[in-house]
This record gives sequence, C-alpha cells and structure tokens, in this order.
Amino acid sequence: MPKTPITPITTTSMTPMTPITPMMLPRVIAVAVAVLLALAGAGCATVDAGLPAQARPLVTTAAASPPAPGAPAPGAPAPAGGAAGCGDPQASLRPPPVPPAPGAMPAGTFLATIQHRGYLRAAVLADVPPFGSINAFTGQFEGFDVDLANRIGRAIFGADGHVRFRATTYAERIPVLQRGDVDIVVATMTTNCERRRQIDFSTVYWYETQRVLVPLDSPARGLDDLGGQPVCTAAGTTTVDTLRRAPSHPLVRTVPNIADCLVLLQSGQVAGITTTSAVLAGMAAQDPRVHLVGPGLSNEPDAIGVARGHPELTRFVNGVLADVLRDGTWAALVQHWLPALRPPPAVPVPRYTDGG
Amino acid sequence: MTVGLLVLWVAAFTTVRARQQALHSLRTDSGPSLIAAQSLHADLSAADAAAARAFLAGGVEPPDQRAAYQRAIADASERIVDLARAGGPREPLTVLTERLPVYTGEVERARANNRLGLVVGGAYQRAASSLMQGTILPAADRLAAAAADRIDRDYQQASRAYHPVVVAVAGLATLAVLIALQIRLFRRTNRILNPALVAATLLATIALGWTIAAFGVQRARLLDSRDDGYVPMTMTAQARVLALRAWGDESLSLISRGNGADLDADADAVSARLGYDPQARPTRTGLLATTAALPGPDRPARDALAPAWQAYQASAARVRALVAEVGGFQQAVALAQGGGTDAFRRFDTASTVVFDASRGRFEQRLAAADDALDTLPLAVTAALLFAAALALVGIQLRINDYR
Repeated sequence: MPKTPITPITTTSMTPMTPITPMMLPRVIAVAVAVLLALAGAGCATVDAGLPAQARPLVTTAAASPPAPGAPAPGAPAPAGGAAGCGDPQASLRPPPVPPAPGAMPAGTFLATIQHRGYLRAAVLADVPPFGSINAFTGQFEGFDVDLANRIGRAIFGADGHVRFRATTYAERIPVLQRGDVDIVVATMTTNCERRRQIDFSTVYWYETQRVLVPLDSPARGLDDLGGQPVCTAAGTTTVDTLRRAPSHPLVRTVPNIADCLVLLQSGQVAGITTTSAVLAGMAAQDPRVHLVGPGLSNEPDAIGVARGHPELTRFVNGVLADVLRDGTWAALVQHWLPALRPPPAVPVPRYTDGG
Repeated sequence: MTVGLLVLWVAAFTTVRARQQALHSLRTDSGPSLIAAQSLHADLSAADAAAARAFLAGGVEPPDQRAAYQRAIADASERIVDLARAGGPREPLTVLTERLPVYTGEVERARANNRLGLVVGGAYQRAASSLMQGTILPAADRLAAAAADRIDRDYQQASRAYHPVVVAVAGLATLAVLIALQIRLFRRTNRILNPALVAATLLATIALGWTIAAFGVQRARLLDSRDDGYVPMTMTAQARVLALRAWGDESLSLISRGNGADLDADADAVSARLGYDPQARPTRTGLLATTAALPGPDRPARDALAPAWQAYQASAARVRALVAEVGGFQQAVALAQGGGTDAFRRFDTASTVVFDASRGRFEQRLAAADDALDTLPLAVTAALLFAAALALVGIQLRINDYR
C-alpha cells in the first residue's frame, strides 16, 4: 500500500479541522452527545397513541340497563293500606246531578282546560291484553281500559279521536299522574288507602281476582304448590304484597311489565305467574301451553286514577262510569274483551262519598 | 476498537429489531384487532337498531330491514371469529359467543310472536335489546379497549426515545475510539494517515447516520399514521356507534309508545356527545366537530359527517314532535320508517366511507414506517462488518510496516 501523505482533514463531520489533542477529545464527545440528546428530546420522543378521549365508549344512562329484577320499584304500595284509614277506599266523589254537555265544559275548570287543549291525556298499559295493548297490525291501542278512556274523551269533546294515549308500566302509573304527564290513568289500578294519599281515584269499574298461571305440564295447582319456587309478577302492583304474604313462601320475581313474566315463564326461568285472572287469561290466549290454576287469591277493586287537585274531573269521570254501568256499555265491553272469563265478573256498584 | 464496532452493531440491530417487531404487531395484530372490535361494536349496534326498526314496522317487517339485520349479525359473527383468531382476551369473547345466540333467539321469538299479533313479542324485543345493550356491547367495548391498549404499547415500543440515544452514544464512542487510534498513529508515523482506518471510520459514521436518519423517518411516518389514520379512524368509529345507538333508541322509544322517556334521554345524551343539543343545534364542542377539525388528507371527506347527522337528528326531532300530537303516532312511525331511515342511512354511509379512508391511511402509513427500517439491519450489519475488517487490515498493515 503506497504511503501517500494525506492532509489531516477527513470528510466526516465528526473529525475536527484542527489536530486534536487527546485532552480535547472528551470535550468534543460531550458536546456531540449533548447535541444528539437535544435532538432526541425534540424529534425522537416516544409516540403515545392512547385512544382519543372522545373515541372511548359512552358510559350511559337508563336505557342501556334493564331494571334490576326484584328491586323495589318506585310507587310500590306499602303493605296493608286499609289500616291507614281513609274511610272507604272504594268510595269516590259523587257525580254532579247534571253533567256538563259534551263539548261545553264549564269555564274555569280543569275540564275546560282539557277541552281547550284539544285532547285528553290518558295513560294505559301497552302489553296487557285484554285491558290495554297495542294492536300489532294497526299500531293502535286497544282493550277494555282503552275503550273506557275513549268513552270519557267522547263525553268531554262530543266526538271520537280526542284522547292521546301513552303507554305506562305498572310502577309508573302514580308518578305519571303526579308529574302531570297525563290527566287520567286507566290501567287496572287497584284503589287503596295507601295510593289514595298520592292520587285520587274514581269509583270502582272492575273487581279483579288474583290467580296463578303455570305451564300445562306443571304439577302445581295453586300458589300453595309453588313454595320455594320463583313466581313472577309485575313490580309496583298490589299483587307483589299478596305474593309476599303467601303462606307457601314462593320466591318473588318482579319485572317492569307483566308481559315480561310470560317471557320468563316460556324460557323456564319462573315456575308460575300471578296477577289478575283477566290478565292471565290474556296471556293464556297468547300461549296455548299454559293455563290458570287455583282459587282466586284476593278480590281487588280497580278504579281510574286522577291527579290530585281536580275534583271536578273525578266527579265527571264518575258520572261517565255511572252511565257506562247503567246503559249496558259495561256488559258489552265485558262481552267484547273478556267473553270467556269464568266465573263471570261481578258487576261493580258505585259507592260515593259526599265530602271533598 | 472492534469491540466498539460490535457494540454499535448490537445497539443498532436490537433497537431496529424492537421497532420492527412493534410495527409488525401494529400492522398484523393490535391494529386489525382494534378495527375488528370497533366494527364488531358497530355491527352489533346496527343489528339491534335494525331489529327494533323492523319490529316497529308491525307484524310483517320490510324485507330490506330484515336483510339489514341478518347482514349485521353475519358481519358481527365474522368479526368475532377474526378476534378469536387474533388471540383477543378470552373473557369478553366468551361473553360474545355465549350471548349472541341467545340474543338472536330472542329476536326471532319477538318476530314470531309479533307476526301472530301477540303482545309478548314486544317483551321479547325489550329483553333482546337490554341483553345487547347491557351485556353484549360492553363485552365488545372491553375487546376494543384491550386492543387500544396494545396499540398504545406498540406505538411506544416502535418509537422509544432511548433507541436513537443508545445508538448515538454507542456510535460516538466507537468513532471516538477510531479517531483517537488514528491520531495516535498519525503522530507516531510522521503524519501519515492510514487509509483503511479512515475508510472504517467513514463506514461507521455512515452506519450511525443512516440508523439515526431512518429512525427519524420511521417516527415521522408513525406520527402520520396516528394523526392521519388512527385518531380519525377511532373517532369516526365512535361517531358511527353513537349514531347507531341514538337511532336504536328512537325505534325502541317508538315501540314503547310514550313510555320511552329514558330512551329519549339516552338519545339526547348521545347527541350531546356528538355535539348537538336535543333540537339538533350544534354545540361546537362534540365528537363530530372535533373529528371535522382534525388535520390530514381525509379532511374534506369528514366534512360530510356533521351535516348528515344534523339532517337525521332534525328528522328524529320531528318524529318526537309528531308522537306528542294526538293521532300523530302513525305519521311519526311513517316518517321514522321513511325519511328518518333514509337520513340515517346517509350518515351511516358517510361515516363508513370516512372510516374506511382513515383505516386505509392508517395501514398505509404504518407500512411506510415499516419500509423506512426495512433494509436497515442488513445494511448496518454489512457496513459495520466491512468497517471492522478494514480496521483490522489497517492495523495489521501498520504492524507490518514495523516488521
């Protein structure tokens, strides 16, 4: 290899132009390292890629979470209402001797407010045939309770089509009235003293009997045979108390809508359903593999719920109910909606108080 | 001196390999897993919304809505298979494979009963929906969260700040040794430079510079993949999921016939998250506004999202107003089934297009980042081997001179 002299300049940037003494070297390296570290700080920092905050899942509200079964529902009645003392829980305000003519509600009353608004707001059940349900083909509400509400609307407006229905669950029946969302609740609602402290009730339009629905192949012949087994009913109903007081001690399972009970029964998650016989008959009509068993467990009076503070509306509703019972409409409704109910339902006799 | 070159080689080679492995995981494992989990969530939401919408139509559901439901379930099932093969966490996958058949079973029961006009059908539809919202979708969320964590880890692993520092320190130390050696030789040998050693120094410098430069390029492309791909992709996926949820809420609220205040509130919460108040007025702070403001080449496509959502939400507000009118319910259902569904489909299509674009950008920029390191290990190995050989030769020649 020829030993050609080369000037002490190399092409690398790291090699200094002037000859370096060994003592200078650490300083040069220190400077270079510092420069590179500075570069690293600016342009080599680790790249984070966490999910952007707004791309995280929305932690959410009521809609996502199904109501916890068995949790005490708001509006659930306290046991044994009678002892509280409200006089006769089945008695309501006497209707006016001369009811206002349809379409001419007395000025200044809540009835006039409704007429001015153009529609009566009624809460009914949406999946409890034959009382209140939505016809899957027409999308319209139908049932015994719905027809009663329509009759009241007709008495106010003198024409059909002035009732705005909204669906309600059992537990929501009292809250919707208290919030003023609706004017009346026609939803197989048992009148008792506990509830009368929160809302007003009309006279009784239906006496319901509580019974038990089980699959055809179930050996159970009544609530007494269902001790220790899960039995379903809707939250926020008086049935829950009857079930809790049952001497056989069945396991109480509550759901928001009574139709949810049929889902549980069909999937074998409960051994039976208990509620009123008319509602159970509506379920048996949807499923030929179930039947009603046992004796009637209780006799509960159903009435129309009216918001507090509108006695004129309660009186008016009682007048309509008296007409319905008197002119054969009630019998016709029973014939239409509950033709096969055995034993035939007892015809209610309105009882009135003169106070308030 | 050879030890110095070896140290430089080890530093460069291991850090480059670490980055390549992280990029490989991003491209073939964590990235696709997140995309699959987010698509799964969207597919499941779409299935639930379509089932509710079809139920709303009454006893006989429109064939296109039935088809939309079936397609969404089929897509979701495919994603679950993908996620299982990608080795996703076991627990949420078990929940999904266990509960999804229960869900579809309940939807079919709802359908059968609805067709017969039996009200228990509505109870089955509610049960199915609460199973989806309360159990199945949270499991999909857990899958997405696990994949997102892995993506974050891979991004960090692919861009560790100490990688270039280690290489630089090792490289500078090696160069310092080489230069010091040459200075010593230079002085001893009457100012004659050793060409072999100079060439070795040059090669080591090139190897060092190349590695540092490749790290810089790879990191820049990684940043692009995050800012132009990953971020808009996840934001759009979330926007689509939220929108599907609001749409499902609308159907379920209509089905519940006035008893859906909590569903309406949920739809309002979703709209607020997207950046709109209940009257469909923009609040300028939500997800859609942020998504539209993101920089990057797909920005024009993202501009279509907000107006499409606003159009749908305006129709949803009109539906709610109709429900509140006497006798307006049938009109409300007709509007929801007609114009409302069309408006929603437009948003859904737009969000899918944007998602696909961002996803393509994400994958493409990751591939480019991978390319930046592609030949580096081989080139550095060759350069440093050659440098070591040259150095040895150079010293040997010098020793020979004195023989």
